[in-house]
Amino acid sequence: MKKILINILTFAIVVAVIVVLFLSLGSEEGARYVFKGNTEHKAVDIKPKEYQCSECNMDIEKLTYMAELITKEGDTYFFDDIGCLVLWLKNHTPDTHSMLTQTLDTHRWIDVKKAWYSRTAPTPMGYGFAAFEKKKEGFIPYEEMKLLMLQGKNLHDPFIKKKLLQKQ
Amino acid sequence: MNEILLSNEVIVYLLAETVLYLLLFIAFLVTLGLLKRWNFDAFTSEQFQLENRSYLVMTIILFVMLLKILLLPYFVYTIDRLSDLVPGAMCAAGVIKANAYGNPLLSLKIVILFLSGLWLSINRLDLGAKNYPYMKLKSWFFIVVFLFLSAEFILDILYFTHIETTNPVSCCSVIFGQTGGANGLPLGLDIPKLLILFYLLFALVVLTLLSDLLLLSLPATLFFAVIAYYAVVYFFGTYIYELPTHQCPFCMLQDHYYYVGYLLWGLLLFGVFFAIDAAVMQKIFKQPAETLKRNALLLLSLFVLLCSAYVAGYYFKNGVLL
Repeated sequence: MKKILINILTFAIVVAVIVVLFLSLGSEEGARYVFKGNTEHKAVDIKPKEYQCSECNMDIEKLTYMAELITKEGDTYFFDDIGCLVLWLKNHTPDTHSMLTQTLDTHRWIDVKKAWYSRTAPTPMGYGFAAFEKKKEGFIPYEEMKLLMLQGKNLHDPFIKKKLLQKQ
Repeated sequence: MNEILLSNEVIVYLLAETVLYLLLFIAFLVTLGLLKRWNFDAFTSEQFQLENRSYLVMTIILFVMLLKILLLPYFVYTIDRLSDLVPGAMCAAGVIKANAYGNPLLSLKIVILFLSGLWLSINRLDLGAKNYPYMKLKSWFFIVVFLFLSAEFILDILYFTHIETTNPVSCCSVIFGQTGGANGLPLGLDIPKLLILFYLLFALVVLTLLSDLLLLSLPATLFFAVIAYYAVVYFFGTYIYELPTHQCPFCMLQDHYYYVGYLLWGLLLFGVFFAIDAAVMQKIFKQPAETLKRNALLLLSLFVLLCSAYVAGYYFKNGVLL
C-alpha cells in the first residue's frame, strides 16, 4: 500500500514538473533581449529569432534591417528596425558606447550616424527607413531620419506613404 | 612570466597538478600493459606479477583521484584569490571568464569529479571480491578518465598562462546581473516557476531514491542539479548576500559570507554524485546501494535546508522578502 502511494506521488510530481516546464516554455519570460559581456564592443552576429527587439518585443527574423546598441559595460540591445531604436532611445538613456546598423548595400555593420537612410524600404515594422552605406538620391542622414521617426513622418502615416510612393 | 604564474596559489596548484599527472601517466602506461596481458585464469608467474603490479597501480590511482577531488575546491579558491590581480574581477566569476579556457576547464573538473567517484566505487567493488571481476572494466574506465584528465591538464596550463593582468574583465554583477529585461534563466523560467521546479524535483529525487525507482532517479537528479544551480545563483544567493541584485555563484566562497559556498556547492555536488552512484551500482552492478542512497538523501536534504534557511532567516530578521 505504502509503495503504491509513493508511486502515485512520484507520478504526480513528474506530471507537475512537466506542466511547469510547458508553462514556462510558453511564457514571455523566455524572451532574450540583451547580450551581455560584449566588452570588445563589436557587433554581435545573431541567428534569426534568437533575440527580440527591445522596443517592439518581436523576434528578430530579418537580420538585414537590424540595429544594435552596445553600452560601455558591454550589454548589447537588439532592434529589428532602425525606427525601433529611435523610439527606444526616446524612453531610455543607456550609457551608450556605439550604435550599429546593418547596411542593405554593403551588408556591413556601420555606425548608425554614418549611414544613409532610404524612406520606402519594406522594413520589419514598416517604418520604411533602411540603412545604406553609400549615399543615393533621396537618402537622408541619421539625424533627419530620427526627426522624421519621432514626428511620425514615416510609412505608417498614410499621407506620407502616399507622397513617398507616388514619387517612385 | 606574468604575475598570475608567480602567485603562490597558482604555483602550488600547478605543481600539485603536474606531480599528480605524472603519477597518472605512469599508471596509464602500466594499465595498458595490464590490459594487454591480464588473464586471471592463468597460474603463471607473469600473471602473479601483474596482479601485484595492478594492486600497486590501483593504489596510485586511488590516491591520485582522492587528491584530485580535494584539488577542485582548491582550484576554486585559487581563482578566487586571483581576483585581486585581475582588473575588474571582484570574485572568481570574472577570473574564470578572463579567457575562453576557464569555463570549459571548470565544467571538465566537475565531470572528472563524477567519473573519479564512479571509478572509486568500481574499484571498491573489485577489491572486495576475490577474483578481481571488474579488473578489465575499471582499467578501461581509467583509460577513459585519463583522457579527460589529460585534457584537463592541458586546459589548466592554457588557462593560467592566458590570464591577462592588463585587460579588465567583467565583474559578477555584469555576468549574472539583469538589465533591460534580460533573463538569465533557462527554459523561459521565472523565479516562482524556478522555485516550484526546485522543490518538486527535490521531492522527486527523494521519492525515487526511497522507492528504488533508480532509472527515474538518474535523470531527476541531473535535472535537479541544473535547476539547483540556477536557483542558488538567481534566488537563494541573493539571500546569502542580502542584496537582491547580487547574483553570483562565486562570491559566496569568500570570507564575507563565511565560505558558505564551499559547503553549499559541496553538498549539492556530492549529493548528486551519491544519487548517480547509487543508481549505477544498483542497476548496472546489481549491488546494494542503501548507504549511497542514504548519503545522497542526507546531503541533498541538507543542501535544500541550508538554501531555505537563508530565506527563512532573512524573513525572520527583517519581516520582508527581497
